[in-house]
Amino acid sequence: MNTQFSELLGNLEKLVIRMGSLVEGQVSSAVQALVTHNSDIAQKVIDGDETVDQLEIEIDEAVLNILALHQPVAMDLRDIIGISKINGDLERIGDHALNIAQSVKVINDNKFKGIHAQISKMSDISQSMLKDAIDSFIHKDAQMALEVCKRDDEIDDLNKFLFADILAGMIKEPKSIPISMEIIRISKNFERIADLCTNISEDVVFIRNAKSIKHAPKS
Amino acid sequence: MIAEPKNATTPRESSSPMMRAVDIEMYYGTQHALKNVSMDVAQNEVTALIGPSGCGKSTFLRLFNRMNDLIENVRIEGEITLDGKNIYDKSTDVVELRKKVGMIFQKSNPFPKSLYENVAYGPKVNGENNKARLDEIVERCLRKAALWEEVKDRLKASAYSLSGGQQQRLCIARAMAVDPEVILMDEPCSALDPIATQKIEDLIEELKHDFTIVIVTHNMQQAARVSDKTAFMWMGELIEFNNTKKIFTSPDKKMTEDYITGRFG
Repeated sequence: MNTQFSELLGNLEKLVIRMGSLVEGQVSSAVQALVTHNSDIAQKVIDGDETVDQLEIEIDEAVLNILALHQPVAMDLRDIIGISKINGDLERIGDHALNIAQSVKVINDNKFKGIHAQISKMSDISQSMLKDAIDSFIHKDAQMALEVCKRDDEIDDLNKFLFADILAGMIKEPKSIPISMEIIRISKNFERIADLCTNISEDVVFIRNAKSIKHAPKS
Repeated sequence: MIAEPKNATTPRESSSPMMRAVDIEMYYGTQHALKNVSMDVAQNEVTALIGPSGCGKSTFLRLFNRMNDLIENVRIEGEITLDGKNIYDKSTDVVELRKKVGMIFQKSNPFPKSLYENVAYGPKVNGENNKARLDEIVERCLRKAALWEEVKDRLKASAYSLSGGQQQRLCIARAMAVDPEVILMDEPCSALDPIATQKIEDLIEELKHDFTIVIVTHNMQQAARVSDKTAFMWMGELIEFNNTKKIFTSPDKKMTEDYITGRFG
C-alpha cells in the first residue's frame, strides 16, 4: 500500500477512535450527572458537545481528502465509507448525551430525586453497547459487532415498559407531568443511543464482511 | 505471497459470449506465459484486463486477433472462439479475423497519410472504391470516434498534424472503418493527458453500443470507470473475473483485493 495513503488511513482511524472515546466520556458523564443529580457535571457535558462537533468536522474533512486524493477501492473504500457513517453516528450519540444532560438540569432544578430502575438499566446497557461497538470497530471484529446489534431489543423493551409505567403515573398524578416528560425524554435518548450503536456495529460488519446487514428481517 | 486457488471466480462464462477463451496455455519457448486461462467476452460490453506488469494481460489480449502468431517460439494450447468458431483453426483467414477483431495500441500509430486516407484505407483495401461511399464511411467513423467536428475542415491534412489524443481517436475511427465486431485496446490512454484520456473513455462508453471491447489498462480507476467486467491476472493466471462493480467493492479473492488496494504489485 502507498505509504502516504497508509498513514492517512491510519490517522483517520485514530481520529475516529478519539471521537469514540470522547463520546463515550460524554455519555458516561451524562449518566453520572443523572445518578448523582449533579448539574455541574451536566453543564460540562453540554459545554463538551462543541468539541465533539469540531472533531466530527475534522473527520469529515479527512474523509473527503482521502477520497479525493487517493480514490480507495475495496476494503479501503468500505473502511472509509464506514468511518464516515460511524463519525456521524458518534456525533449524534454526543447530541443524545447533551439532551440527557439538559434533562438532568431540569430535573435537578425541580428538586426531583427518584431515578427509575429501568433508566438505570438502560444507561448500563447503552454504555456497554457503545463501548463494544467502538471496540468492534477498533478490532474490526464482526462477531462482536453482531452481538451489539442483538442487545438493541432489550433497550427497546425497557423504553416501552418505562413509557407505559410513567404514563400511568402521569394519569394518576398530573402534577408529575413536567418531570415525567423529562424522564421519558431521557429514556428515549438512551434508546436512540442504543440504535446508533447498532448502526455503528452494522457498519463494522459491512467494513469487515462487505455485506450490509441493515434492515435485515429479525430472526 | 498468498496462495490462491488456481481457477478464477465466476462469472467466467457468459450466456452469449462474443469471444470465448477456453483452457488457454501459452509458452514463449520454455516460459509458461498463460496458465489455464478461460474467460468469456460478452457482446456489447467492455471487459478490462488488469494486473501487474508481466502478468500476461497484453499477451492474452493479443491472442484474440492472433497478434502473437508473429512472435517466434510461441506455442498456444486451448481455443479462442469468435461467434463460436475457433480462431486458431487452420482454416481461419487471419486477415479476415483482424478485420473482425481490430486493435488499438498504446501509442497511436496513424499511417503517414491524410486523415481521410487513414480512415478510408481499410475499406479501400477491402475493395471499396466508390467515392461517395468512402466519404460516408469516413464521416460516420470520425463522428463515432468523436473527432468529426474537430477535423471536418481539414480532412486532407496529415494525420501527424493531430494531437496525441486526436491521433488515438483517429486510430479508433480507422479500426471502425472495416466494421469490426470486437475492438481490442492495449493501454490506449497511457500516452495521453487527462483531457484526452477522458475523451477516449467517453468514446469507449459510446462504442460499446456497437462493438465489443476488451481493454488492457494499468490504470485501475480507468478499468473501474469504463468496464462492465474486470479480469485480474497475475503471473499468467486469471485470478478473478467478475463484474467490475464487484471487483472494486468486494472482490472474492484476497489477492485481487491486495492488488487493487495497492498492497502488492
